[in-house]
Amino acid sequence: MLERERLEGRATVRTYGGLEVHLPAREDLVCFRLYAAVDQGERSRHFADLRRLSPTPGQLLNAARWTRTHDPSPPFLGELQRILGLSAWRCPMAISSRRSAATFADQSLALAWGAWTQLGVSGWTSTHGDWAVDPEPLILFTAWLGDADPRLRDEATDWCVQNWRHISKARLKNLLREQPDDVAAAFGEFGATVAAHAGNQLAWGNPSPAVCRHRPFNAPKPQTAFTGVAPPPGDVRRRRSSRDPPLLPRSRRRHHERCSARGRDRLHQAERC
Amino acid sequence: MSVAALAVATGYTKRNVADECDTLQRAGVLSVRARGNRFYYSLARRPELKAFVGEMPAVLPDWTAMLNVARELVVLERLSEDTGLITLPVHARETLRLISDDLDDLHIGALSNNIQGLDLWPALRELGDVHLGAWSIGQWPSGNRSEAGGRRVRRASS
Repeated sequence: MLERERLEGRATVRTYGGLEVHLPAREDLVCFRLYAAVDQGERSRHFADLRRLSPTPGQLLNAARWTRTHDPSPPFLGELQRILGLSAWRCPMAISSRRSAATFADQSLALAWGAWTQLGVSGWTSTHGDWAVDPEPLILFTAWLGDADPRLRDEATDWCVQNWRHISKARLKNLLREQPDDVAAAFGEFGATVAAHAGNQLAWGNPSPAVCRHRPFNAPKPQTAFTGVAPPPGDVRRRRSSRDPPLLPRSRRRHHERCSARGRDRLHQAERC
Repeated sequence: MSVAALAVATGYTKRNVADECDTLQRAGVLSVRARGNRFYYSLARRPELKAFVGEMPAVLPDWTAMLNVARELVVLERLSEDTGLITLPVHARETLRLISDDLDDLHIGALSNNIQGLDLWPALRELGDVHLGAWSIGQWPSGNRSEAGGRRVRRASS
């Protein structure tokens, strides 16, 4: 339903002088109002309009199915069911096109949505308000979920583009080592997308294991997710480089200073002062 | 905690953790004591740090372990739709092996060894429904400690 031709075919045309108005059919209006009511809640005028339309259970079911084609995420399903429940309408059949609303895939998506919503992504419901969220594993998991929920993937990508300074690349790299290859490959695409949108400030390239692990001898080192990290402008913190002298614990540093020639000079100077 | 334990728990290298601990110790945030050739760090000014950080969330899960369990269960669920009854117990046993360390980290009791063969997938499904179902709605099943504990060093599962 709601394809353009059918929508136009069902519309009622009224002419007011030189003005031609196409009024959508009742069942199409139910779809639009239900989608808007789920989006804006039971206090919105859309919800009031929907009640005034007094749709039949069949029209509501069709409308619910149509809204699910626009947003298949589990949080939306929860909100849809809540809105239908509020208005004392019950869907006689399962709204989700999947075989069950409680599959592990659905539960995983709901978990990821809850965590991302807690991090500030626009979500339908806040379910994980008293949870501490660890973003790096969540990013890897969301990249792996990928096309299971395109909206979640897009929202997570946007969040990473905006907040990449809060993500530790060193930690992502370490966590990725423990993950299976399909997670690494999925993160390669995700990271490349984030890098493309974050501009030159970030080098989350493609850390595909095939690229990283099977580099020909003497071949130039590929640009992966974790190479060529450029500090953001204005960021005065400097990461340690491999050329810097190693950081030693205090006891070993004192020993190092006593034994090295430069250290002895420094100690002599300090004693003289 | 030792540097090695902190590194495993946080997902950073020991070198990173040692550097940061050294800096924090010099700043007076951490106190250190040496035992053998290891340094053990603890919070030196816990009340001040607590006042600075503010109220901590009630649930502090080990996200890496939790999402590993979720991922393997999703994979097994997909396999259960495509594979036959003969191979499904093999996949279920493999999944159980892959997530056993994560279940330990999450303080979730492993399945009984008596569960074998065709009973394994339903048992895993029930375990997933209880825990993943609760996580998905923001609940932490009672009986599981929510603090992120020391993780074991593990390699990639495949």
